[in-house]
Amino acid sequence: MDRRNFIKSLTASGVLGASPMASQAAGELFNTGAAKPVLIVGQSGLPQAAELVARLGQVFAAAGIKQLQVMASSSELARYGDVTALLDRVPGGRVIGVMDDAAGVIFQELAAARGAACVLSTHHRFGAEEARHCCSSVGLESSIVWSDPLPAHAERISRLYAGTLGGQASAPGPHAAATPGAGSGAPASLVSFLINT
Amino acid sequence: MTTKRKALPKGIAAGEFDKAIKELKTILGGENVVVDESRLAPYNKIMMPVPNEQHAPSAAITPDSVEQIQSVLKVLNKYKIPVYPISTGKNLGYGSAAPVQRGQIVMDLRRMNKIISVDPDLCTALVEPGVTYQQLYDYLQEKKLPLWFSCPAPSAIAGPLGNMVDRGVGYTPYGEHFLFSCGMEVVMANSEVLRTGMGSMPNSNTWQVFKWGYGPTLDGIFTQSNYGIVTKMGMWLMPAPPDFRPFSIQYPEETDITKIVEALRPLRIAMVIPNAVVIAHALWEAPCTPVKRADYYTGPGAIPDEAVARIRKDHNIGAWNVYAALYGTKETNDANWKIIEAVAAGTGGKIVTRENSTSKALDYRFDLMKGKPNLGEFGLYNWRGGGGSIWFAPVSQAKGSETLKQMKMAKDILAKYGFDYVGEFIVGWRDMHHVIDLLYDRSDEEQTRKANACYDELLHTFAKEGYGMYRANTAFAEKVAATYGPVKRSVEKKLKKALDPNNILAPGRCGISL
Ligand SMILES: Cc1cc2nc3c(=O)[nH]c(=O)nc-3n(C[C@H](O)[C@H](O)[C@H](O)COP(=O)(O)OP(=O)(O)OC[C@H]3O[C@@H](n4cnc5c(N)ncnc54)[C@H](O)[C@@H]3O)c2cc1C
Repeated sequence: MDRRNFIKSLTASGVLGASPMASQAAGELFNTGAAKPVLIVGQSGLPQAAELVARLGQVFAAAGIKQLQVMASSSELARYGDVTALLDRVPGGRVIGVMDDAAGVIFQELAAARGAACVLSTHHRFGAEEARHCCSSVGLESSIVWSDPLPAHAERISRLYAGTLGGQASAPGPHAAATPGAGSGAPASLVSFLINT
Repeated sequence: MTTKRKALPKGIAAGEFDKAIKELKTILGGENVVVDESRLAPYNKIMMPVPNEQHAPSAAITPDSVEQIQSVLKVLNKYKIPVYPISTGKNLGYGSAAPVQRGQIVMDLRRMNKIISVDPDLCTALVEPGVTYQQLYDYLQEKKLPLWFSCPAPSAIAGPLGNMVDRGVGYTPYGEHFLFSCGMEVVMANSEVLRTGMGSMPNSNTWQVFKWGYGPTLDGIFTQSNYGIVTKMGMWLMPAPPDFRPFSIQYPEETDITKIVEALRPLRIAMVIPNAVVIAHALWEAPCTPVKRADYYTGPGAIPDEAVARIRKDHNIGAWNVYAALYGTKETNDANWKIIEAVAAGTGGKIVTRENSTSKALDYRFDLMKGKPNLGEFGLYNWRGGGGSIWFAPVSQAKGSETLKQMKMAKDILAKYGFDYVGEFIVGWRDMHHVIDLLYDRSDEEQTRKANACYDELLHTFAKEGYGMYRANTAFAEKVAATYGPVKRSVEKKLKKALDPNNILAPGRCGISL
């Protein structure tokens, strides 16, 4: 099973990350530093980012993926020194970023400057009732796009990351409580990504 | 056995490619030759509104010396495989780190990152391609050298050599970066090493102080071109002035741009204002303040003027926001400050300084005007969300009459495709770079397609009026080159044939190929 089929089938079936076979395939492709904890960097001040980081934490825990979580402000994520310090925490490991577009580009470019590769990246657009996700990955000819209703918008994407990291299939814990403010007000945009450092 | 690869150089069979890769590994070591798709990810294009495949690299190599580059070129000539050199590879909006054509091998020079010398008396530096502005800044700070350099907005992650060879600009008095470069070392396609200017002369110590040498000055042909791989660059540094006085002037009306340019041009030409004056539109200023578009407008099409007016009012932003600085002693700056005050008063502008502003936009601009690297301008990507950006950058005369005309042309075309006018004029000495950030959601196929069509229409409409680009995204290199007419292209092609007969150096860059 190649990566494309892997992600497609996960997306289509809606059971992202739950297939042992797919997890194994993903592990071979992406899992360079599996022994080390995954660093999840979220941007503070963005309710949708906080929600996704929280859900990632729950799904990873259920899947047996070791993790570290850091929330950083938009100012920190726009500072060269602060971003490189974050990258220094996981040499030869994996980082998942959940942040706005500006911070996402800076983070990915600073990682690239050290030879680290962003292997999976997803744009999230939040409307009044649903979130639209557009996921691209190395080797994927075109992006995969899907939508989720808002209270559960972090669910499938969290499982996708867990599956991609080769987590064991197991039932995740209860869904994170919706953060006040998420899904309300003006549409927001977010990017999440996985980097092999 | 041959390996199945996604992208191969045009006309090269997989077996031949594999043989070349094997030879490259012998020269560079296996870890410096990347063919694995996931490790090639940093060299995939981003922000260009064209399909990914169009700019997919076949491999990436990271040599660490001139000698290695020479050996690599011998192999590439043998197999006729094209290579695309990058220095720090952050040409975001103009092409990122991706090759200009599918299948080219990216030569990433980031490991060649030595600051070879800094002369504190002559205020010069000699750097390798992988040196970043941040690295140079840290070096000068560490050594406590009171020297400044000019850098572009994404300075902390970009580098002086890559920026200069693409003829980038910055915001100190040394902001025209090619002008203030002095001496290059270039590995030619046949592996010869050329040092331009005085660098050709054995035992010369004037390489970084006199650019021209004897006979034709060759430096220019190695910028926005593909005639050689630049491996060293001399650059001039500016002594930190005893008094630095940055300022902003806000103007209330879009039509004020005419009088702004008329008032500031004489000061710029006479060098009362010695740095490139930036005149930023409200919608450039807003995302970096920061303001989000969606908080003001979520309807279809370009943001209406009424919403822009609300943003300006809520966040204290001018319709146009001028940024410039005085560099000198307290006495000279006091004298020149009176001129600035008179010009602002006479043109209806409001002077803003750090003391009376809390805007993040003002902070990053002021830092850039003293060459302090930062990443403040990345805020532009949050305007619309979706992270798509492509620079449209026509040149005009520094005359007020040009500005309104260009702005209206751009605004109309952008609006036709549903995009906002996010623009600024950068007043050089007698010209202006009218830089427009065409921001779109790259996760949205429809918007990406429209961004492509919009850029195309902008390009051709402006060209019809005689406005050429100062620099262009690699996806549009061929089209932009075509707007400059056939004779220039034919001369460029003859040069290419003479200097790179196997067409191995970045064919297609700036429209030059055999
Ligand atoms: C928010 C934002 C703001 C920006 N503002 C500015 C600005 O103010 N001014 C400005 O100039 N740019 C600006 N840019 C564009 C760009 O990011 C900078 O110009 C940046 O300096 C270019 O990337 P680099 O320095 O890493 O050069 P590179 O990407 O390494 O090089 C640029 C190109 O030059 C060629 N090249 C590089 N190295 C060599 C070599 N050794 N030999 C031969 N050819 C070579 C290649 O074709 C390469 O693609 C901005 C970008 C962003 C995202």
